[in-house]
Amino acid sequence: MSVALDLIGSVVIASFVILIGLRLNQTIAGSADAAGASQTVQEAAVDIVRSIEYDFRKMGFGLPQANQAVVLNDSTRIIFRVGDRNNPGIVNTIEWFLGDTLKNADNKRSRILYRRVNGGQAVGASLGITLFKLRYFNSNGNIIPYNSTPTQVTSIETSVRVESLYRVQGQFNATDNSVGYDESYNKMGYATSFWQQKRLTARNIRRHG
Amino acid sequence: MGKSSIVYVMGLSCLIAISLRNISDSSTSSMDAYTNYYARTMAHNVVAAGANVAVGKFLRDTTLTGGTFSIGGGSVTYGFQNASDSEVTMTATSVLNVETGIGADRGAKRDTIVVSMIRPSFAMYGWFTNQEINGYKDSSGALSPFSGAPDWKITGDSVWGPAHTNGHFNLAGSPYFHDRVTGGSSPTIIKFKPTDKPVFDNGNQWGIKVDRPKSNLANLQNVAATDGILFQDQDVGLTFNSDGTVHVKIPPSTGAIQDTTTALTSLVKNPAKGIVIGVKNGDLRITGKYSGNITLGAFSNPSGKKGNVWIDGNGIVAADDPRTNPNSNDMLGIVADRFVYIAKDGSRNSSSVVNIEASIYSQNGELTAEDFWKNGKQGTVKLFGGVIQNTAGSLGTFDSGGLKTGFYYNIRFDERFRTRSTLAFPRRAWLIATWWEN
Repeated sequence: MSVALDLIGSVVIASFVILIGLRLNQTIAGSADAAGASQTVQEAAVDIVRSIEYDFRKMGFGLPQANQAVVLNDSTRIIFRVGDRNNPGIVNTIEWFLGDTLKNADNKRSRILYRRVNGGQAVGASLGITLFKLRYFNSNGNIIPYNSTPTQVTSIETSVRVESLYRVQGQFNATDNSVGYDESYNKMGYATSFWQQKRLTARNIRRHG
Repeated sequence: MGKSSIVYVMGLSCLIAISLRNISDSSTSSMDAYTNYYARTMAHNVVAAGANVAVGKFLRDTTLTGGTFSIGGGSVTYGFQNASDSEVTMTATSVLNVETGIGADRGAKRDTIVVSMIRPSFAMYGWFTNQEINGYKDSSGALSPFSGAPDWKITGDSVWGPAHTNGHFNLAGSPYFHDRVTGGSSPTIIKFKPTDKPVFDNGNQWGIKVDRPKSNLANLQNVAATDGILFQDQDVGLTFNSDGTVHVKIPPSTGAIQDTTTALTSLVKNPAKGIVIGVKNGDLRITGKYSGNITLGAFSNPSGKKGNVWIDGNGIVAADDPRTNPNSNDMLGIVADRFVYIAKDGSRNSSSVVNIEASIYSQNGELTAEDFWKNGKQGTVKLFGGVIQNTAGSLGTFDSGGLKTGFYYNIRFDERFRTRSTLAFPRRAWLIATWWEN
């Protein structure tokens, strides 16, 4: 009798332990996935931002007049000139622009941010960027309408958002305004990183005269 | 049962601990990406602030060669290289000791900014005034009926080359500005019709003042004395010839003291640097066709009555015409302590043309035409260069029928002056030309 009770008891306890283990495995796997996605997104955001800052800080360098720096000022596209530090007199044209949404990606908002030098081949990588928005201001701090008077640009506000290319648990789901932990895949959200540079004023485009 | 349960629980705990450690590592790495970015940004901000401080120190003491100071939790080392009287390069490097990051990113963060500062020549302006008002005075100091009246740029007027006033522009209708326009304050605007507005093709910026240090003239006078030629206490007449010679007449009317034709290179002490001819306590009268890179200066006497430049005849032009040859090496800078007058000439009529190819600088006066309101129609003044003056000189008077007296005024900027000028032509205060950030 006692042997039978031992067997029944151990089976019940083992079942609980196995169920707990499976549950933990699911949760831990999800958390690990979310943490990995978050790390990837944040590293991608830092890489993108550093590339943008590297270029934008040089805007207008080596030009005889500061107002020649910005050539085109659109909401998701900017073209500007930068003098070549090692070859005085040579001026390069840098273009940053946001591509179309990626049709085959799970995250339908993700796009590619492109960089083009001197009208050559545009180079970009699918790092999960979902927002690249620019706003332009004149010397009085007033917003300059897109695609007009780029010569008056003296500061630029840049916003960047990077999201994971697949859904992970514990992230905000904009579709139903919830944070899905233990839901179906479609109820989960994307890992997100947002960065905004308020009024980046490249020194070379602020100078006057 | 008891032992096996303990084994189950312990085993499960070990698995959980290992998994949680992996998750924790991922979170730490993701935070590392941002802290590393933060540290680099801090190092950048430190060097940007340090470079600003160092530039400020240099502007107060232009003999500064370098130094080190602490700011924002880091240190900045700066030094000035390739210094001359009109150009200097500053390199500032920051070191910020923040133990963040992983692998190669760990350790002190460094960043560098290279700043180039220049003293640009005033010749870079197509139009410059301290005030947009007429400031006419004749050579004795008497005012004209128009002295003190505001200068208006109206529909049909066009300004080429960078334009600036330390006051405010007066703009009526739709005058056109081809280059960037700056001013001490926003312009006074009058609309003749609702659609009227000034056209700024390359933008504008108000609230900017540009000093014109008097030391510029002292420097020019000094250069004339050491490297060029400095006449003193007499008016001098110079008629330039396209073969590089100049006819010198002292006084200009008779040539009683000197009446000779000399090669410009023989006239000055150090022609390799450029030609500088000055007159201290006297006026200069000039005309002809010049060859070479020449600066002319007239400096006033203590009574303030001398220091004028008078442009005679059909004006003064380059032998190698920069209008047709933008690479011409013939450049002229005219600098007057007082006024630059286009001298009246009884032989002129409404179809006469006075050509001037020069950048004209007047410290206390303006470019104007002698008795412009008295002499009937004199034709057109065509200035190819620029004019930098204290007040906005007028060359003629107008009514609804057009020119009434004096000259039509036609100014075109000589693009060569955007980056070059003649020897010892007045320069602006130090300013930042380029700013290189990593």
